[in-house]
Amino acid sequence: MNGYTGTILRVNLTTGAISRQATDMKDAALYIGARGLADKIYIDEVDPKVDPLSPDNTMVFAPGPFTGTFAPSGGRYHVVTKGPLTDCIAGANSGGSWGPELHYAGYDALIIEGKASEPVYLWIKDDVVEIRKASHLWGKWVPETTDLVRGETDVDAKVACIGPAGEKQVLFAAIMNEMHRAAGRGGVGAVMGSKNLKAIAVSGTKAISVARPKEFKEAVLAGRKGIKEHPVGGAGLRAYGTDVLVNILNQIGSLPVNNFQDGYFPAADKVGGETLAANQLVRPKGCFSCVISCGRVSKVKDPKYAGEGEGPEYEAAWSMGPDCGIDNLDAVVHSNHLCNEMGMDPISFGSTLACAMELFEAGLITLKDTDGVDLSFGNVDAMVEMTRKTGLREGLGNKLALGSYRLANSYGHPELSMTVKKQEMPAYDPRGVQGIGLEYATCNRGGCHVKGYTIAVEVLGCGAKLDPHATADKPYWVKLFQDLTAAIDASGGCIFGTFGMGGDNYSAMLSALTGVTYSTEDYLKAGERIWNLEKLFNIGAGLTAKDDELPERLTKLLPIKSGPSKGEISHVPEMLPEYYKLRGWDVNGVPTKERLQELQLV
Amino acid sequence: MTIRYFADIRELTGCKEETWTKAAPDLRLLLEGLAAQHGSAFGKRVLEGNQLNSTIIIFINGRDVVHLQGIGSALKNDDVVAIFPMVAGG
Repeated sequence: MNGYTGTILRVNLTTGAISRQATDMKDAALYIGARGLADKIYIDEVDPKVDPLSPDNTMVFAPGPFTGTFAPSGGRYHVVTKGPLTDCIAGANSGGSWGPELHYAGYDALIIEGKASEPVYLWIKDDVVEIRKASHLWGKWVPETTDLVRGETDVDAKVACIGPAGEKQVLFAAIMNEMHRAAGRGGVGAVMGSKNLKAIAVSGTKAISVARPKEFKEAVLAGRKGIKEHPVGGAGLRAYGTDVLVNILNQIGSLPVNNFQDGYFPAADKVGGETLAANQLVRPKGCFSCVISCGRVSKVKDPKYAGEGEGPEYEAAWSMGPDCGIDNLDAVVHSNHLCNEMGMDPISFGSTLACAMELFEAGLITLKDTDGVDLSFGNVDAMVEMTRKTGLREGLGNKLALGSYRLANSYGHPELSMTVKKQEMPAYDPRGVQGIGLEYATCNRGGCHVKGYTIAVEVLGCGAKLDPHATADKPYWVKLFQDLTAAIDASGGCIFGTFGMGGDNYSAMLSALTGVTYSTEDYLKAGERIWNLEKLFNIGAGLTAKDDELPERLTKLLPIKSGPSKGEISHVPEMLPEYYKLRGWDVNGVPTKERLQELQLV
Repeated sequence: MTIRYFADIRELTGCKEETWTKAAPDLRLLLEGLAAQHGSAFGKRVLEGNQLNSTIIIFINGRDVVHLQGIGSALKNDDVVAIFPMVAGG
């Protein structure tokens, strides 16, 4: 049972029943933990056609074997459910210390079923589990909720909760742990809100046993050394955070601007990591057992936007910055703080607002719709006001809360939604960086960069240097990154560890920790198994190859207009057949029986 | 020619951007000229002997010089050269 507690906790909010079951160690060996084990539990139990916001949907929270150990950045947990934004598998991942605490409390996974008749929160203190009333917390924002729950339970308890966005079922609501860390994408916070579950507080005192302690220590120290000595993991991310990417993507002409109408933003430096470090950064911050500290504690002094919080990450600085034509970093930091405090994914929010701005400039959204707010690109005050209105579902915010796909559809222009599987794409223009477009198109949870981060080899030169404009070999790299990331997510690790560690480091740590021997090939195979399992759920939910496409704006209609990537267009349609072939899927993107047998999925 | 600096490279040059008017037909000569102007710390940051330092990224008009002719990449007066440390994010 090394690396695992051997126990899964199940809470039914409809009946109030609390039960425990043994962790299936055969599944643990195949799916590792966290993302993989949570996927397996969820997909075995839930009809893929379930309404994501109905009591029939469940949620599985799971730490991985690394979570709570001193493995580098080994503090992450995964939330798996069906996403209300995407209507497909939603897996959201977060750092901080909540995941380790759940593991210390003695659980490899927490299954939430049903719906409470009134607002409740869950208090887990080792073996003692209580469902407590939370009507007095309903309506409160994340910081106040966290403080109140800690006051009612244990001042050292770790709290994951939703804010008003989750309560009001904003379709891209997040779950926030320790106030500032987010299980951010796909609307997992809305699912929690639909269950009347305001928070989960955890305190644990149990140890995680290690199969071969000396070997584990050596593998961990080698991994930590690798990260510290890497120019990115060791110094770059700590100094400037992820927002340092604004300038580099802009300099290659692949920073999406004004709802992906262009790929170059002349004022990009005003919202980049260098400016953040000079003006708003209070200090860097790391998650549990982190040797990188990419997090930003940030403060805005301008009285108009004054406040202290965390972030933004690159994605948020882009979505509420250049993608909305905005270059005011104080305002972007402020809106990022608002997103955290209301519990809302800033990527989907910013991109949805950008879509609304394009609809406004086209005369489709009117001043009447906006209550008189000029929603033109670049209007800083409008961006800040719409952040608040969306989290609270007021005025036009009630429509923005549905995401850009449903928003654009409601005005008869679905082509203006920059989404894949109804989820907003992140901050790398796929017309200028070909591989990341294929990742967006094929990612099981919808438009997402982080589950197959080929930017590392296409732009940053970490591990390899590929031409971002070329398509050759990109399907291979996308598959490799997707499989490796799935395995790292399942282990409870952070993908930033790959700036200094490879699959061999991860498999060595996992083997020494669990006592189950994983070669690097085994490790990648586990990731591939997880990827295919998620794919099968999506097929069951009704998704087809039509859902593996980028918006036509990016593949046909609108080459980048200016900057270094002027004239470039995405070639995802040309790369997709090769990707399917490498995955062992048929021409319709359906896994073949042979590949499923090979992966022990049938 | 426009030279742009980012992240900690700016701390070595003391500026974000400058115009280079001296002769620099290729990247090696440009970097040597910039090193003479900005000092040895900058020189070591961008050059390892006769090669580019492996921890920096240089774009000429948005194209990574790795996909051009590396340190021998030709330059023109109206080119934009961007110099970054190796950075990442997500």
